[in-house]
Amino acid sequence: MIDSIVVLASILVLVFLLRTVETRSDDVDESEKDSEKT
Amino acid sequence: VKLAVIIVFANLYFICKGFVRPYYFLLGYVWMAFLYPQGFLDDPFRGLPFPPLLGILAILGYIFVDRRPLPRFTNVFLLLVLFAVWVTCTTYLWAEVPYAAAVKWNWAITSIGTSLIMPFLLRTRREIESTFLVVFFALSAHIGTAAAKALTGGGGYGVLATLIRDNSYLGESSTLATVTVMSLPLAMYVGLHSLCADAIPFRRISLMVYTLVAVAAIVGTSARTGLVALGAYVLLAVRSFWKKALLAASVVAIGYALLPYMPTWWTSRMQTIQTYETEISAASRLDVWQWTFEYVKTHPLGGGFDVYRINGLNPSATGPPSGRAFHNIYFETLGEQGFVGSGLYLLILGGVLIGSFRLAKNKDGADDWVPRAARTIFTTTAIFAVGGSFIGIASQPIGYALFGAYLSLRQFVTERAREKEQQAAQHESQACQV
Repeated sequence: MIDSIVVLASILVLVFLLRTVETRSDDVDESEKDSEKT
Repeated sequence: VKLAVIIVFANLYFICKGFVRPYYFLLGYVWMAFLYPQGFLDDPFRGLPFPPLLGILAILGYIFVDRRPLPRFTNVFLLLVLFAVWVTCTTYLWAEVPYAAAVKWNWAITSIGTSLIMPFLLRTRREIESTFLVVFFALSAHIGTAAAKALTGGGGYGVLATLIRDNSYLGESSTLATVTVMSLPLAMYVGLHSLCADAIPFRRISLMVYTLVAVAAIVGTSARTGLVALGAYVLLAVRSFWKKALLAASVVAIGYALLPYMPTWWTSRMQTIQTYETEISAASRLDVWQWTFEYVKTHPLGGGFDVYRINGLNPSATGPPSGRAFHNIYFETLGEQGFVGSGLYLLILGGVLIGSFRLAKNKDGADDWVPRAARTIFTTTAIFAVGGSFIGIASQPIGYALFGAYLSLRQFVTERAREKEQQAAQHESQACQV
């Protein structure tokens, strides 16, 4: 029971943070492109 | 079954994402290598072919979807290629125990291969930090389970019910204790400096809670290696000498104050550090290391994977004595791969330590995350090198993932330098035209 809860929690947090890294890095790329244009 | 369903869905997530961003295939592969669900799932789920599928998809994804130019082949990369060739020779040309050597080669070569493919697919900040996340959260599943069981009274040497059910890989208490310490610098980087750091609620408190969970897991394993690795981390975590001294003194003082409240199985196990010569586990390690020295004198090319099986240092009440494992990455590679393989391995380990240390010192670029990531790789590799003095984990994915992360970071720095050179050349040509 403990095993399932811990593994599930670790996967859910991992997926959430992977998505956050993806979105934030896209934002960083966009802002870098904007600054290069200006 | 519940666990199996969770893991199948997680794999499907990595596969689906991989078709859009191919590095997710490799992330999925690394996640499976560290979580190692084959060690705790029942049949038929343990045999699901996700790792080879993700590995093949990662290679195909790089060739047909990703299609970025080849990375720069650094010295560490070339040494890893040579090491892969050498271990294949020792396995198939002169192994002392050919069948066992071939079995170990099968998974050891995938560990080396993973580190070699990482700079192809993981070479931007997003990709490198995603690797940190994947490694950290796969490890935290093992650490969280061990801590929860230790806190509910299930701790003790060889007693703690880890996520992996047998005494192998992260189910082995000393290995689990070492990787728990290795997870601490990763947690610090993810929680303080990564792109997702701001998204973590109460991040300083969360980090403190995770540190306590990690300490509970280390105490729960009751492995002396964990205490040594933790000591190494304390010394490496702080840069200034006076802060190091203050931190070490605080840890000793807190440890001394807490000692009466620690479980007796833990204190009695830790006291054996002082009497290592009479303690069977430690004394037999010294015997194996002595045997390895004598063995390579007559077999300088090594005896192939699992050559320890012929040392006969593990007495048995019912039959002939069996082999006692090396319990040390340096003696493991020396005995198995001889002077050549051992030299290559030391050069790789030293190259990663020196290279990441140099990157950590280099702070003149705009990418302030690079020195921090390099520092994390350096600290984690140093803990691996210290903890590895008491456990035979040279062929496991733990060290090779660090080598791969270093190659990826090195690739990022090279690409950035090239981009800057191109931009400078463009500016110059524009200025000439004006």
